[in-house]
Amino acid sequence: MKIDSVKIENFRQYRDVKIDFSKDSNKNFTIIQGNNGTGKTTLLNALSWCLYGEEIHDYKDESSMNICNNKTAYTAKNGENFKVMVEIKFIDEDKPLIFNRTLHFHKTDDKLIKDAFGDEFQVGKMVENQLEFTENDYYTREQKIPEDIENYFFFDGARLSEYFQKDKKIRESVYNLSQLNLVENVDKHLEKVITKYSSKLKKIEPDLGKSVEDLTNAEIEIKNKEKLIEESKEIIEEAKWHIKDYTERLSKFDSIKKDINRDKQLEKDLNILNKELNDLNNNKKNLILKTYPYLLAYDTFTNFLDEGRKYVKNGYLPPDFKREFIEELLNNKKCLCGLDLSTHEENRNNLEIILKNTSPITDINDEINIALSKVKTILQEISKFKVSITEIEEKIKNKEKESSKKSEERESISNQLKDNPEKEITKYQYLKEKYSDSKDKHQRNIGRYESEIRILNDKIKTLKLKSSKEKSLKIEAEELNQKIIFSKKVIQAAHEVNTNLTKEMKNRVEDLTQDKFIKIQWKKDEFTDIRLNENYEIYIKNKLGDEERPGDLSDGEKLCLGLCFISALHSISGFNLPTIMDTPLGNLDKDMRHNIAKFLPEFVNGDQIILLVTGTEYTDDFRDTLYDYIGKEYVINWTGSEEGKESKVISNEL
Amino acid sequence: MQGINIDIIKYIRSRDYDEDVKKCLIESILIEYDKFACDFHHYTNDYDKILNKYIKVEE
Repeated sequence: MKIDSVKIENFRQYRDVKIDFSKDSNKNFTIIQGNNGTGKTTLLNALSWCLYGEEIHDYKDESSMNICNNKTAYTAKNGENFKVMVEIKFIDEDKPLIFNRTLHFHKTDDKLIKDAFGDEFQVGKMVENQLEFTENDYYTREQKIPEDIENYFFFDGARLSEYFQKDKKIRESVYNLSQLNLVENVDKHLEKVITKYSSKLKKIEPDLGKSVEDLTNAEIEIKNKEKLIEESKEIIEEAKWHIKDYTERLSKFDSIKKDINRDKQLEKDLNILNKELNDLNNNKKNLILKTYPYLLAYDTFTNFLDEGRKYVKNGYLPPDFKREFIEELLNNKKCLCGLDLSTHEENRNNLEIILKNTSPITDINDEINIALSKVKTILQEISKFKVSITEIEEKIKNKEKESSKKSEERESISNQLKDNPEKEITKYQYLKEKYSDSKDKHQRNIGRYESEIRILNDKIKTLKLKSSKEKSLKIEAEELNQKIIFSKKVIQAAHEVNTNLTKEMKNRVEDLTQDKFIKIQWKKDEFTDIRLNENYEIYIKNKLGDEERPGDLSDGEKLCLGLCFISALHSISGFNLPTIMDTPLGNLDKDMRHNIAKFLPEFVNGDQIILLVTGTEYTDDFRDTLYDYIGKEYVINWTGSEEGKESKVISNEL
Repeated sequence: MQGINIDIIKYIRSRDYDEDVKKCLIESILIEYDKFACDFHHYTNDYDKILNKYIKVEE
């Protein structure tokens, strides 16, 4: 993939710049020359910002801090909208691939307001011969230029020696560059997949086989119930035969049975009649006992009543005065009218005459009246008794008559039943009932068994469904097991590939770094061997056989080694990207610079290279040595005024 | 074209693994290459699809 051009609008000191890069494999170098502070690192950061939304390269000149070009911001009128935009156009398989990031601004009250939604990231790709832009297509970006490896293609030359620092995770980066991380991810993700399969398997396994066992048990149970139904049916048939037999036998006793029933009824009736007679006789006896004393005194009562009536008739009863009342008046010597009888002799005498003429009967007048009333009642009772006793006797007579009639009938029936067939009938009835009960019982049993069979059949239906599900579960379990086994084999292979390729990659980087370094370093016999440990830490063997760390080298040597190392990494990388180096020659002396210019085209082997260099770095010798490979050359012109700063990129005719 | 590191694929092909294991490993690497910021479930589904090609259980 080659970088075709970069368009920059209002990004820091770049107001409106377009740079076309050389894509020719024979002239694969693009040189952008600019003095310190003119915007070389800003150019690098414009690319990082466009791709990843961040400016990851350090600024040497920290004065230009606003992302928005301050000249544009200054000259913009209030209410005006403008944007910061960087667009990188790549050519990927002869098709354009465009990354664009834009941030909108608005000026109001002399202040810059950033778009609240932040910047917009778009990727433009050819779709059916048409360029289509998609927002936030990070997928394409990560496929083409993953953020992890960006540092190895777009870098600050002055910081090359940092790759040798111990804390630099070079091993991880080499992994990402060489795409061995993909193999490692296969290993990691397949392990997770196995864990998922295993947990799925654990859930499935306990249920396997259970419904088959339940199904077999249910089927056996149904067979047992069916057998019991058959047995019950046989018993019912036998019972029916017996019931019929005893019914026939009993039918022969039908007439006798009537007599027996009649006899039983008569016996019951006679018992009732006897009881009723007994009750009537008791009533009669009680009535006589109760009334008898009055009957004996009947004449006395009659005479007493007659005499009493005579007294009443003759006016003795009731008497005129009560004697004791008159006696009391005389004793008190005071008349009822209040007259003092002690002084009124005549009145007193009159009272004494009245007393004299008053009958002694007046003293018992009340008792006589009560007695007369009682006697009258008794005599009424006696006359009622006569009626009652007549009624009872009549009833007794009727009941005795009825009893006698029924006794006669019973005696006649008893004579007929003297052979006593009842025992036989009872026996047959008992047996008939027994078989009838047995028949009913077994019919109930059949009903119960049939209902149980229905339930079992439903259960079987469910179990069959479950069983077929289990069957598929069994297949699933088998499949999971096989997948686990197969995945383990793939993991083992991935692991082996990873280990071997890691070793191989390391050896290749080691060899390539050594080859390149030996070629470009000027003290030809100074260093003999370069070694990388497993963390990609570099050790250099000098001519005396001692191992040195890059820290022991001069700045120029370190930079040179860094270039060789990066170049070696590119060789093993799965990515074919342009390399953009910012100020890579700063610390190199004339010879080293010459050597780099001489050997660099060979190192990069036609890959697209963009060098951001200072005037000091870009000497005539360097330019002349590299000249045949330079496709495009630019100079950054920086201008500063009150209104703000601006850098322009001017193309140089080659 | 910017793509998968062919050296890895070549290396796997040159190895003495079971052919299915090789194919599956290469397909898995392609899945890993093709995916970016995918969650685990996404991976599981993709791996499941790959593994299903190589695992056949007779009913």
